[in-house]
Amino acid sequence: MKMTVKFVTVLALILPFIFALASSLQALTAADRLRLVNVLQSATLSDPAAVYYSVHGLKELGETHKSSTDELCSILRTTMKPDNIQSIFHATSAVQLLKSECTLDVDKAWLKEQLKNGESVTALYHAVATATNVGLEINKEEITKILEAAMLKEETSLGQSHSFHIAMLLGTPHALKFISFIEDVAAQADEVDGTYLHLEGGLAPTATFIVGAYRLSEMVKRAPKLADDKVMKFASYLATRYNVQSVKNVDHLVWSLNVLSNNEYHSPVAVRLLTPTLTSTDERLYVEISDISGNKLKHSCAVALKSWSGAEMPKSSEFHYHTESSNKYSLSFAHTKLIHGFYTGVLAITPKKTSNLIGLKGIEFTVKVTTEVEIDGAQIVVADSDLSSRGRNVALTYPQRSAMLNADYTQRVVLTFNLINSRNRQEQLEVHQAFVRLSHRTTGRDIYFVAQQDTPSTTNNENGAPSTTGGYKFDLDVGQSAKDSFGYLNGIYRVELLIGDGLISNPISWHVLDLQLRFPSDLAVDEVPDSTGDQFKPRPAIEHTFHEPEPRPPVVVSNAFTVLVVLPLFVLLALWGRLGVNLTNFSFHPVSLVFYVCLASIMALYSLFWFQLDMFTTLGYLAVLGPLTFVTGVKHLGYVAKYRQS
Amino acid sequence: KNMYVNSTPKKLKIIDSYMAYILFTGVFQFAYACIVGTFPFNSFLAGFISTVASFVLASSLRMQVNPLNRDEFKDISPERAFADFIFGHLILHLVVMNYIG
Repeated sequence: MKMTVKFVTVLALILPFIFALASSLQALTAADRLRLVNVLQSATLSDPAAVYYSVHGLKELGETHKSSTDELCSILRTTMKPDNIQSIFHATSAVQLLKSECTLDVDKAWLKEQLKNGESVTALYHAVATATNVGLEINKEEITKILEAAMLKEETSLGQSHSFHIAMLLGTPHALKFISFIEDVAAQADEVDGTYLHLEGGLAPTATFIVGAYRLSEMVKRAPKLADDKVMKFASYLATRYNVQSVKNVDHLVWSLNVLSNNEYHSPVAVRLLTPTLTSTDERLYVEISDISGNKLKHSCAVALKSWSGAEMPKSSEFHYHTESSNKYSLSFAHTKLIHGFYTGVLAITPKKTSNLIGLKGIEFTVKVTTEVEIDGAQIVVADSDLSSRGRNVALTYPQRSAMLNADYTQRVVLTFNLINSRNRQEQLEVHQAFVRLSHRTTGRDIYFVAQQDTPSTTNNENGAPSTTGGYKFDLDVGQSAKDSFGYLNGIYRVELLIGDGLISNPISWHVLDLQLRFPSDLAVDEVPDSTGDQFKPRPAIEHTFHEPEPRPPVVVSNAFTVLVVLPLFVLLALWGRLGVNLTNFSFHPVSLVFYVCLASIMALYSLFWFQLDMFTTLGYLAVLGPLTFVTGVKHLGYVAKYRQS
Repeated sequence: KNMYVNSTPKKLKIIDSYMAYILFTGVFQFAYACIVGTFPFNSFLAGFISTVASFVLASSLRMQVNPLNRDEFKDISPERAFADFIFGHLILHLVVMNYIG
């Protein structure tokens, strides 16, 4: 019971935020940005990649690395691997970003060889970028040819995205050859839930693609062939990655966010609902619009409410723009009937002039409107179990505590009350939690009961709040609940009424009165052994009892019967003697003798089988003895037959 | 009773006495099980079924060997009947020994 109370309360607190995030692009918050800066500043600089990502990422965020250029330079010198093109790329690029005089030992002849490498586009990109960084001349035609050939073979999305970065280094007119790939690479993206688009491999390929596609398009001055909704889905994917932890991911994230915020072609709009919950005194709904990095939009816009699930649309559906806070818009609900419940709405954003903003329509949000509850007409009475006679009704007023009442096991306690909406006193509310908690004063034991509603509703009105409700009643039959609920524990119990719901802003905990309960004297206890820690104490040891053998008969009986069972054999021998059984025709023919011996040995084998052998060995011996017995037996019986006929 | 003693060939009487012996052995085993219970059940079954099956084999031997039934069993010589009897017993005892446990 306690856990349920806690869980539902916590859920009621989280729900507004869950609803607020439905279906609108979320911008990077100031807290996110601070965290990303911290990741980049405090990264362990163990290789050129870490240095590059930290410096590059911080530059994108408008910051500089806390270490001095000289320190970074020495780290690059010591950790750079001279035979690894990626390592050299990161090192030389970091030096370029730091604009320092740092010299790195790069073998230019070896680098020239790398420029001919058409195995992977990523490796080629690293080579070309490094050449640009160290000032080595590159043959643009040759590189273009190698890149075109490599793109035909390239399977990874990351590699294909790197082609745009190489194209940027080649410049026009060579770069024009590669803009058609933008559409192709975007087509390979995976869609999730109909909301997110990302390239295979996650953040790094997706970010590399976005930066490459837009910067290349800007360079050749041709809009990328990317549909608005596709770009919004890529942006939504990036918005799910705000919590990345590694330098590489942070760098890629801020790099791509910057491009999405500042490019000529597409600028996704991010909307944040600032008031997911409206109370009875609030009258304005606040939203904040920005670009994906959280910056103010470059174009001024108007925000309008396109649809609203409430009974009435607000008088004006145009949001008011707050010039002083620059990103904030608000909508007034004054003079509109806002009944408590859950509401969904759809926003549309209209830029004042034509712009490259996207994601302007169909922005859904959910708002919760709460109200305040009041307890009205509360009464408590102690009556006999069969309601044959009742005590006096005691009127209760919240938040006062009334005088103590007594009840014994032949009686019942009935508490009735109504919950009304403070804003609309004619309306009775139905709440999720209407509990009565009885806690024993001396031992602290809690028992929770649920107060039942007289005519609970089964339908909700269009705002998600229950319609047609009734008053509440808590009926405690002391005798019936004596064993299961109270464990016959006598004493004074504190009676508390707990009212809670997601749609009320003033949950109530009211200590109504104290109740003294008396249980039958032969069963009643005054103290309850403290069992709260029992689950942590050692349990009673379990003694294993082996299977009891079946009762056997006395040895005398068994022996007697053994003798009895063997007895008929002697009787048989006696009978045979009397009948005149003879062995006169016993044949001593060798075959017959072998036959008798075989038979006897089979019997001996069987006895041995019982004592020690297993079936397989027995069958093995039988396989030898059997045919022998058979053959000799046939021969022997043949002789007997001949003898008989003669 | 005298008819039996006088007109039955000696061979058959031998078999009859053998069958009586088997019968009593089975009856005593069953009585024991009734008195003290059937634990271990497999052993009881093995012993009891052994007597029952032996009885059956003996009775089929008697039928085939009986001169009065010669017409029924023209193709089966007494020796053949005896061979079958032995063969049946060999298999029976193997199974019984396995089941006695």
